[in-house]
Amino acid sequence: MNKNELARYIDQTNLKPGMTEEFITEFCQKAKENHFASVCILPNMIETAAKVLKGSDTKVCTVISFPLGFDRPDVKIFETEDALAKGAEEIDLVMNVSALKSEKYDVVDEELEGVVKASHDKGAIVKLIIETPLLTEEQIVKACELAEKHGVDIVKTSTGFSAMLPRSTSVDDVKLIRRSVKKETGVKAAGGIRTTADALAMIEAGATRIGASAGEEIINGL
Amino acid sequence: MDVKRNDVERIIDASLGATPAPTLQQVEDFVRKTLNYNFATTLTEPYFIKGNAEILHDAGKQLVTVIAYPLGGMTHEAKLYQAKQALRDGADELDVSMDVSAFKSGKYDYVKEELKPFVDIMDGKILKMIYFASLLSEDEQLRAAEIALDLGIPYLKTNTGYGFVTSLDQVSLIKNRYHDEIKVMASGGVRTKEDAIAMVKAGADRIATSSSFKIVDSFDE
Repeated sequence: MNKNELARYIDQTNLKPGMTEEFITEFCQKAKENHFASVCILPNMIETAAKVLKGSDTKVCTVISFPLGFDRPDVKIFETEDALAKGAEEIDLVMNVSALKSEKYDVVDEELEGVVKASHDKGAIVKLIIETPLLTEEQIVKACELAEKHGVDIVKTSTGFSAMLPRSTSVDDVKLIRRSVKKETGVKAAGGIRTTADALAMIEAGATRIGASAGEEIINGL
Repeated sequence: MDVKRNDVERIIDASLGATPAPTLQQVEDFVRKTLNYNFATTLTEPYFIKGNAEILHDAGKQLVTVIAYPLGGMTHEAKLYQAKQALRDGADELDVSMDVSAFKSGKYDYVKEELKPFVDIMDGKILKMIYFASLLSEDEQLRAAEIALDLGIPYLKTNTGYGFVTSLDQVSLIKNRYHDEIKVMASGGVRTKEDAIAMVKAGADRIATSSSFKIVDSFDE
Protein backbone atom coordinates (compact mmCIF):
# COMPACT_ATOMS: atom_id res chain seq x y z
CA MET A 1 0.00 0.00 0.00
CA ASN A 2 1.31 3.49 -0.84
CA LYS A 3 0.82 6.73 1.05
CA ASN A 4 -2.10 7.92 -1.09
CA GLU A 5 -3.92 4.62 -0.74
CA LEU A 6 -3.50 4.66 3.03
CA ALA A 7 -4.77 8.26 3.22
CA ARG A 8 -8.08 7.12 1.69
CA TYR A 9 -8.68 4.98 4.76
CA ILE A 10 -8.23 7.80 7.23
CA ASP A 11 -10.77 10.05 8.96
CA GLN A 12 -8.38 12.77 10.12
CA THR A 13 -9.81 13.66 13.51
CA ASN A 14 -9.79 16.54 15.96
CA LEU A 15 -12.51 16.43 18.60
CA LYS A 16 -10.77 18.43 21.30
CA PRO A 17 -12.79 21.15 23.02
CA GLY A 18 -11.85 24.74 22.32
CA MET A 19 -10.12 24.45 18.94
CA THR A 20 -10.22 27.81 17.16
CA GLU A 21 -11.76 28.34 13.73
CA GLU A 22 -8.31 29.28 12.45
CA PHE A 23 -6.83 26.01 13.72
CA ILE A 24 -9.61 23.89 12.18
CA THR A 25 -9.31 25.77 8.87
CA GLU A 26 -5.61 24.88 8.65
CA PHE A 27 -6.29 21.35 9.85
CA CYS A 28 -8.79 20.89 6.99
CA GLN A 29 -6.48 22.51 4.45
CA LYS A 30 -3.74 19.98 5.25
CA ALA A 31 -6.23 17.10 5.28
CA LYS A 32 -7.41 18.10 1.81
CA GLU A 33 -3.82 18.18 0.52
CA ASN A 34 -3.26 14.71 1.97
CA HIS A 35 -6.53 13.44 0.42
CA PHE A 36 -7.76 11.89 3.64
CA ALA A 37 -11.17 10.22 3.39
CA SER A 38 -12.68 12.79 5.73
CA VAL A 39 -12.05 15.31 8.45
CA CYS A 40 -13.87 14.43 11.64
CA ILE A 41 -14.68 17.48 13.78
CA LEU A 42 -17.21 18.61 16.40
CA PRO A 43 -20.58 19.91 15.11
CA ASN A 44 -19.83 23.57 15.89
CA MET A 45 -16.92 23.33 13.42
CA ILE A 46 -18.91 21.85 10.49
CA GLU A 47 -19.41 25.15 8.69
CA THR A 48 -15.74 26.10 9.12
CA ALA A 49 -14.65 22.70 7.75
CA ALA A 50 -17.17 22.70 4.90
CA LYS A 51 -15.82 26.03 3.60
CA VAL A 52 -12.37 24.48 3.12
CA LEU A 53 -13.38 21.01 2.00
CA LYS A 54 -16.14 21.91 -0.47
CA GLY A 55 -15.52 20.27 -3.84
CA SER A 56 -12.57 18.22 -2.58
CA ASP A 57 -12.34 14.45 -2.16
CA THR A 58 -12.13 14.87 1.63
CA LYS A 59 -15.56 14.72 3.25
CA VAL A 60 -16.89 16.63 6.25
CA CYS A 61 -17.51 14.14 9.04
CA THR A 62 -19.02 15.00 12.41
CA VAL A 63 -20.04 13.27 15.62
CA ILE A 64 -23.51 13.06 17.14
CA SER A 65 -24.21 12.79 20.89
CA PHE A 66 -20.47 12.61 21.36
CA PRO A 67 -18.89 11.09 23.36
CA LEU A 68 -21.43 9.78 25.89
CA GLY A 69 -24.38 8.89 23.67
CA PHE A 70 -26.87 9.48 26.49
CA ASP A 71 -29.44 11.49 24.59
CA ARG A 72 -33.05 10.82 23.73
CA PRO A 73 -33.48 9.46 20.19
CA ASP A 74 -35.27 12.63 19.07
CA VAL A 75 -32.35 14.77 20.28
CA LYS A 76 -29.91 12.63 18.27
CA ILE A 77 -32.11 12.85 15.18
CA PHE A 78 -32.46 16.63 15.57
CA GLU A 79 -28.70 17.02 15.98
CA THR A 80 -28.12 14.89 12.85
CA GLU A 81 -30.55 16.92 10.73
CA ASP A 82 -28.94 20.12 11.92
CA ALA A 83 -25.44 18.80 11.15
CA LEU A 84 -26.50 17.73 7.65
CA ALA A 85 -28.08 21.12 7.00
CA LYS A 86 -24.80 22.79 7.96
CA GLY A 87 -22.75 20.65 5.58
CA ALA A 88 -21.87 17.33 7.23
CA GLU A 89 -21.46 14.47 4.74
CA GLU A 90 -20.65 11.69 7.18
CA ILE A 91 -22.34 11.12 10.54
CA ASP A 92 -20.58 9.27 13.36
CA LEU A 93 -23.36 8.50 15.84
CA VAL A 94 -22.66 7.36 19.38
CA MET A 95 -25.04 4.51 20.20
CA ASN A 96 -26.86 4.64 23.52
CA VAL A 97 -24.60 2.04 25.14
CA SER A 98 -26.59 2.17 28.36
CA ALA A 99 -29.79 1.20 26.53
CA LEU A 100 -28.01 -1.63 24.73
CA LYS A 101 -26.53 -2.98 27.96
CA SER A 102 -29.98 -2.75 29.56
CA GLU A 103 -31.43 -4.71 26.60
CA LYS A 104 -33.67 -1.77 25.71
CA TYR A 105 -33.15 -2.43 22.02
CA ASP A 106 -36.21 -0.38 21.03
CA VAL A 107 -34.29 2.76 22.06
CA VAL A 108 -31.36 1.86 19.78
CA ASP A 109 -33.84 0.97 17.02
CA GLU A 110 -35.48 4.38 17.32
CA GLU A 111 -32.28 6.40 17.20
CA LEU A 112 -30.87 4.35 14.32
CA GLU A 113 -34.01 4.47 12.24
CA GLY A 114 -34.20 8.27 12.47
CA VAL A 115 -30.52 9.05 12.07
CA VAL A 116 -30.02 6.67 9.12
CA LYS A 117 -33.09 7.96 7.29
CA ALA A 118 -32.17 11.62 7.78
CA SER A 119 -28.61 10.95 6.61
CA HIS A 120 -29.39 8.75 3.61
CA ASP A 121 -32.05 11.22 2.45
CA LYS A 122 -29.25 13.78 2.17
CA GLY A 123 -26.75 11.37 0.59
CA ALA A 124 -24.68 11.13 3.78
CA ILE A 125 -23.36 7.93 5.31
CA VAL A 126 -23.75 6.79 8.92
CA LYS A 127 -21.11 5.23 11.13
CA LEU A 128 -22.41 3.75 14.35
CA ILE A 129 -19.99 4.04 17.28
CA ILE A 130 -20.67 1.04 19.49
CA GLU A 131 -17.92 1.58 22.11
CA THR A 132 -16.34 -1.87 22.15
CA PRO A 133 -14.19 -1.20 25.25
CA LEU A 134 -17.41 -1.11 27.30
CA LEU A 135 -19.14 -4.14 25.75
CA THR A 136 -18.96 -7.91 26.02
CA GLU A 137 -18.51 -9.96 22.85
CA GLU A 138 -22.23 -10.81 22.86
CA GLN A 139 -23.12 -7.12 23.17
CA ILE A 140 -20.78 -6.25 20.27
CA VAL A 141 -22.50 -8.85 18.10
CA LYS A 142 -25.93 -7.52 19.14
CA ALA A 143 -24.91 -3.93 18.31
CA CYS A 144 -23.75 -5.09 14.87
CA GLU A 145 -27.07 -6.85 14.33
CA LEU A 146 -28.97 -3.64 15.13
CA ALA A 147 -26.66 -1.64 12.84
CA GLU A 148 -27.30 -4.08 9.98
CA LYS A 149 -31.04 -4.04 10.55
CA HIS A 150 -31.12 -0.28 10.02
CA GLY A 151 -28.71 -0.03 7.09
CA VAL A 152 -25.80 1.59 8.92
CA ASP A 153 -22.95 2.04 6.43
CA ILE A 154 -20.00 1.54 8.77
CA VAL A 155 -19.70 0.14 12.30
CA LYS A 156 -17.12 2.11 14.31
CA THR A 157 -15.37 0.55 17.28
CA SER A 158 -15.03 3.39 19.76
CA THR A 159 -15.19 7.09 20.52
CA GLY A 160 -11.57 6.94 21.64
CA PHE A 161 -12.59 9.25 24.49
CA SER A 162 -9.90 7.92 26.77
CA ALA A 163 -10.94 9.85 29.90
CA MET A 164 -13.82 7.39 30.31
CA LEU A 165 -12.61 4.22 28.62
CA PRO A 166 -10.73 1.28 30.12
CA ARG A 167 -8.77 0.51 26.95
CA SER A 168 -8.06 1.40 23.32
CA THR A 169 -9.60 -0.32 20.31
CA SER A 170 -8.11 -3.74 19.67
CA VAL A 171 -7.48 -5.76 16.54
CA ASP A 172 -9.85 -8.35 18.00
CA ASP A 173 -12.66 -5.74 18.18
CA VAL A 174 -12.23 -5.12 14.46
CA LYS A 175 -12.16 -8.85 13.63
CA LEU A 176 -15.30 -9.50 15.66
CA ILE A 177 -17.21 -6.67 13.98
CA ARG A 178 -15.95 -7.80 10.56
CA ARG A 179 -17.31 -11.31 11.22
CA SER A 180 -20.63 -9.91 12.50
CA VAL A 181 -21.59 -7.70 9.56
CA LYS A 182 -22.08 -8.36 5.86
CA LYS A 183 -19.27 -7.80 3.39
CA GLU A 184 -20.65 -4.47 2.11
CA THR A 185 -20.73 -2.92 5.58
CA GLY A 186 -17.58 -1.07 6.52
CA VAL A 187 -15.65 -1.21 9.77
CA LYS A 188 -13.99 1.87 11.25
CA ALA A 189 -11.28 1.36 13.84
CA ALA A 190 -10.83 4.33 16.19
CA GLY A 191 -9.31 4.84 19.61
CA GLY A 192 -5.61 4.72 20.35
CA ILE A 193 -4.41 4.29 16.74
CA ARG A 194 -1.27 6.41 16.59
CA THR A 195 1.29 4.75 14.33
CA THR A 196 1.54 3.39 10.79
CA ALA A 197 1.90 -0.11 12.24
CA ASP A 198 -1.28 0.34 14.34
CA ALA A 199 -3.22 1.45 11.26
CA LEU A 200 -1.93 -1.34 9.03
CA ALA A 201 -2.76 -3.95 11.68
CA MET A 202 -6.35 -2.66 11.83
CA ILE A 203 -6.67 -2.74 8.03
CA GLU A 204 -5.25 -6.27 7.99
CA ALA A 205 -7.94 -7.22 10.53
CA GLY A 206 -10.66 -5.90 8.24
CA ALA A 207 -10.97 -2.16 8.92
CA THR A 208 -12.10 -0.08 5.95
CA ARG A 209 -11.63 3.22 7.79
CA ILE A 210 -9.25 4.44 10.46
CA GLY A 211 -10.13 7.26 12.82
CA ALA A 212 -7.00 9.00 14.07
CA SER A 213 -5.77 12.39 15.15
CA ALA A 214 -2.29 11.46 13.91
CA GLY A 215 -3.29 10.88 10.27
CA GLU A 216 -0.27 12.68 8.86
CA GLU A 217 2.23 10.76 10.95
CA ILE A 218 0.48 7.53 10.00
CA ILE A 219 0.76 8.10 6.24
CA ASN A 220 4.24 9.57 6.46
CA GLY A 221 5.43 6.51 8.36
CA LEU A 222 4.93 4.29 5.31
CA MET B 1 -12.96 28.55 59.08
CA ASP B 2 -14.39 25.28 60.30
CA VAL B 3 -16.05 23.39 57.46
CA LYS B 4 -18.56 20.83 58.69
CA ARG B 5 -20.20 17.88 56.97
CA ASN B 6 -23.37 19.82 56.24
CA ASP B 7 -21.45 22.76 54.72
CA VAL B 8 -20.14 20.36 52.08
CA GLU B 9 -23.10 18.01 51.69
CA ARG B 10 -25.66 20.73 50.92
CA ILE B 11 -23.55 22.18 48.07
CA ILE B 12 -22.75 18.95 46.22
CA ASP B 13 -24.07 18.07 42.78
CA ALA B 14 -23.70 14.30 42.98
CA SER B 15 -22.91 12.36 39.81
CA LEU B 16 -22.31 8.74 38.99
CA GLY B 17 -19.29 9.79 36.94
CA ALA B 18 -16.74 7.04 37.16
CA THR B 19 -19.04 4.30 35.84
CA PRO B 20 -18.92 4.52 32.06
CA ALA B 21 -22.09 3.39 30.33
CA PRO B 22 -24.06 2.28 33.37
CA THR B 23 -27.20 0.23 32.85
CA LEU B 24 -30.54 1.91 33.51
CA GLN B 25 -30.71 -0.04 36.76
CA GLN B 26 -27.29 1.22 37.87
CA VAL B 27 -28.39 4.79 37.23
CA GLU B 28 -31.59 4.31 39.20
CA ASP B 29 -29.71 2.65 42.08
CA PHE B 30 -27.36 5.62 42.22
CA VAL B 31 -30.25 8.10 42.16
CA ARG B 32 -32.03 6.24 44.98
CA LYS B 33 -28.84 6.20 47.04
CA THR B 34 -28.61 10.00 46.80
CA LEU B 35 -32.04 10.24 48.47
CA ASN B 36 -30.32 9.35 51.74
CA TYR B 37 -28.22 12.50 51.55
CA ASN B 38 -28.92 16.21 51.57
CA PHE B 39 -27.11 17.03 48.36
CA ALA B 40 -27.95 20.20 46.40
CA THR B 41 -28.81 18.11 43.35
CA THR B 42 -28.37 14.72 41.73
CA LEU B 43 -26.87 14.77 38.23
CA THR B 44 -27.90 12.51 35.37
CA GLU B 45 -27.15 12.81 31.67
CA PRO B 46 -30.14 13.88 29.52
CA TYR B 47 -31.29 10.40 28.50
CA PHE B 48 -31.78 9.35 32.13
CA ILE B 49 -33.85 12.36 33.25
CA LYS B 50 -37.23 10.94 32.34
CA GLY B 51 -36.74 7.72 34.29
CA ASN B 52 -35.37 9.38 37.42
CA ALA B 53 -36.82 12.88 37.84
CA GLU B 54 -39.95 11.56 39.53
CA ILE B 55 -37.96 9.50 42.04
CA LEU B 56 -36.11 12.65 43.07
CA HIS B 57 -39.09 14.99 42.98
CA ASP B 58 -41.23 12.66 45.07
CA ALA B 59 -38.55 12.89 47.74
CA GLY B 60 -38.34 16.68 47.44
CA LYS B 61 -34.96 16.52 45.66
CA GLN B 62 -33.60 18.29 42.60
CA LEU B 63 -32.18 16.91 39.35
CA VAL B 64 -29.51 18.63 37.28
CA THR B 65 -28.39 17.68 33.80
CA VAL B 66 -25.60 18.64 31.42
CA ILE B 67 -26.03 20.28 28.00
CA ALA B 68 -23.47 20.14 25.15
CA TYR B 69 -21.45 17.97 27.43
CA PRO B 70 -18.60 17.36 27.91
CA LEU B 71 -16.96 19.00 24.88
CA GLY B 72 -18.97 22.19 24.36
CA GLY B 73 -18.93 21.48 20.64
CA MET B 74 -22.61 21.20 19.72
CA THR B 75 -24.27 23.68 17.39
CA HIS B 76 -26.51 26.29 18.98
CA GLU B 77 -29.66 24.79 17.48
CA ALA B 78 -28.99 21.22 18.66
CA LYS B 79 -27.93 22.41 22.09
CA LEU B 80 -31.08 24.47 22.59
CA TYR B 81 -33.27 21.56 21.48
CA GLN B 82 -31.42 19.28 23.92
CA ALA B 83 -31.98 21.81 26.72
CA LYS B 84 -35.69 22.24 26.03
CA GLN B 85 -36.25 18.48 26.05
CA ALA B 86 -34.30 18.17 29.30
CA LEU B 87 -36.52 20.76 30.99
CA ARG B 88 -39.62 19.05 29.62
CA ASP B 89 -38.38 15.71 30.99
CA GLY B 90 -38.03 17.19 34.47
CA ALA B 91 -34.59 18.75 34.94
CA ASP B 92 -34.50 21.39 37.70
CA GLU B 93 -31.11 22.83 36.77
CA LEU B 94 -29.07 22.92 33.56
CA ASP B 95 -25.28 22.98 33.31
CA VAL B 96 -24.71 24.35 29.80
CA SER B 97 -21.31 24.39 28.11
CA MET B 98 -20.49 27.64 26.39
CA ASP B 99 -19.26 27.36 22.79
CA VAL B 100 -15.62 27.13 23.83
CA SER B 101 -14.32 27.12 20.24
CA ALA B 102 -16.11 30.38 19.50
CA PHE B 103 -14.75 31.79 22.76
CA LYS B 104 -11.17 30.78 21.95
CA SER B 105 -11.67 32.26 18.47
CA GLY B 106 -12.38 35.61 20.17
CA LYS B 107 -16.06 35.70 19.23
CA TYR B 108 -17.27 36.87 22.63
CA ASP B 109 -20.40 38.57 21.30
CA TYR B 110 -21.43 35.34 19.64
CA VAL B 111 -20.80 33.32 22.82
CA LYS B 112 -23.07 35.67 24.73
CA GLU B 113 -25.76 35.80 22.07
CA GLU B 114 -25.69 32.02 21.79
CA LEU B 115 -26.29 31.58 25.53
CA LYS B 116 -29.06 34.15 25.82
CA PRO B 117 -31.90 31.80 24.74
CA PHE B 118 -30.92 29.40 27.53
CA VAL B 119 -31.47 32.14 30.09
CA ASP B 120 -34.86 32.79 28.53
CA ILE B 121 -36.15 29.20 28.82
CA MET B 122 -35.20 28.58 32.47
CA ASP B 123 -38.42 29.94 33.97
CA GLY B 124 -36.99 30.30 37.45
CA LYS B 125 -34.81 27.18 37.27
CA ILE B 126 -31.08 27.47 37.79
CA LEU B 127 -28.68 27.82 34.84
CA LYS B 128 -24.96 27.19 35.20
CA MET B 129 -22.49 28.13 32.51
CA ILE B 130 -19.58 25.73 32.01
CA TYR B 131 -16.66 27.91 30.91
CA PHE B 132 -13.77 25.39 30.64
CA ALA B 133 -11.49 27.28 33.01
CA SER B 134 -8.61 24.88 32.40
CA LEU B 135 -8.53 25.87 28.72
CA LEU B 136 -8.57 29.63 29.42
CA SER B 137 -6.03 32.23 30.51
CA GLU B 138 -6.84 34.25 33.64
CA ASP B 139 -8.04 37.16 31.50
CA GLU B 140 -10.24 34.81 29.54
CA GLN B 141 -11.68 33.29 32.72
CA LEU B 142 -12.68 36.75 33.93
CA ARG B 143 -14.14 37.57 30.54
CA ALA B 144 -16.25 34.39 30.69
CA ALA B 145 -17.49 35.51 34.11
CA GLU B 146 -18.44 38.89 32.65
CA ILE B 147 -20.51 37.17 29.97
CA ALA B 148 -22.39 35.23 32.65
CA LEU B 149 -22.90 38.39 34.74
CA ASP B 150 -24.16 40.35 31.72
CA LEU B 151 -26.68 37.61 30.97
CA GLY B 152 -27.79 37.21 34.56
CA ILE B 153 -26.56 33.60 34.71
CA PRO B 154 -26.28 32.87 38.45
CA TYR B 155 -23.58 30.18 38.38
CA LEU B 156 -20.28 29.50 36.68
CA LYS B 157 -19.15 25.86 36.50
CA THR B 158 -15.40 25.65 36.12
CA ASN B 159 -14.90 22.51 34.04
CA THR B 160 -16.62 19.38 32.81
CA GLY B 161 -14.56 17.00 34.88
CA TYR B 162 -13.53 14.65 32.06
CA GLY B 163 -9.78 14.95 32.14
CA PHE B 164 -9.84 18.43 33.67
CA VAL B 165 -8.93 19.21 37.25
CA THR B 166 -10.20 22.44 38.79
CA SER B 167 -7.62 24.37 40.78
CA LEU B 168 -8.25 26.44 43.89
CA ASP B 169 -6.86 29.40 41.92
CA GLN B 170 -9.56 29.07 39.28
CA VAL B 171 -12.23 29.37 41.96
CA SER B 172 -10.61 32.18 43.93
CA LEU B 173 -9.85 34.17 40.76
CA ILE B 174 -13.57 34.60 40.14
CA LYS B 175 -14.61 34.94 43.80
CA ASN B 176 -11.93 37.52 44.64
CA ARG B 177 -13.06 39.68 41.74
CA TYR B 178 -16.82 39.26 41.87
CA HIS B 179 -17.55 38.02 45.40
CA ASP B 180 -21.30 37.40 45.80
CA GLU B 181 -22.21 38.77 42.38
CA ILE B 182 -21.78 35.30 40.89
CA LYS B 183 -21.63 31.80 42.30
CA VAL B 184 -18.93 29.32 41.31
CA MET B 185 -19.22 25.55 41.11
CA ALA B 186 -15.94 23.65 41.21
CA SER B 187 -16.06 20.64 38.90
CA GLY B 188 -13.25 18.24 38.11
CA GLY B 189 -10.86 16.47 40.43
CA VAL B 190 -12.74 16.96 43.72
CA ARG B 191 -12.46 13.45 45.14
CA THR B 192 -11.83 13.66 48.90
CA LYS B 193 -13.11 15.46 51.98
CA GLU B 194 -9.88 17.49 52.01
CA ASP B 195 -10.38 18.51 48.35
CA ALA B 196 -13.94 19.60 49.12
CA ILE B 197 -12.99 21.59 52.23
CA ALA B 198 -10.23 23.37 50.31
CA MET B 199 -12.71 24.30 47.59
CA VAL B 200 -15.17 25.70 50.14
CA LYS B 201 -12.37 27.76 51.68
CA ALA B 202 -11.41 29.03 48.20
CA GLY B 203 -14.97 30.30 47.85
CA ALA B 204 -16.75 27.53 45.91
CA ASP B 205 -20.52 27.79 46.22
CA ARG B 206 -21.10 24.34 44.76
CA ILE B 207 -19.04 21.25 44.14
CA ALA B 208 -19.66 18.72 41.37
CA THR B 209 -18.24 15.32 42.17
CA SER B 210 -18.63 11.63 41.42
CA SER B 211 -17.19 10.89 44.88
CA SER B 212 -20.14 12.41 46.73
CA PHE B 213 -20.90 9.53 49.11
CA LYS B 214 -17.26 8.96 50.01
CA ILE B 215 -16.64 12.65 50.66
CA VAL B 216 -19.65 13.13 52.92
CA ASP B 217 -19.29 9.81 54.75
CA SER B 218 -15.68 10.55 55.59
CA PHE B 219 -16.76 13.47 57.80
CA ASP B 220 -18.25 10.90 60.20
CA GLU B 221 -15.13 8.76 60.46
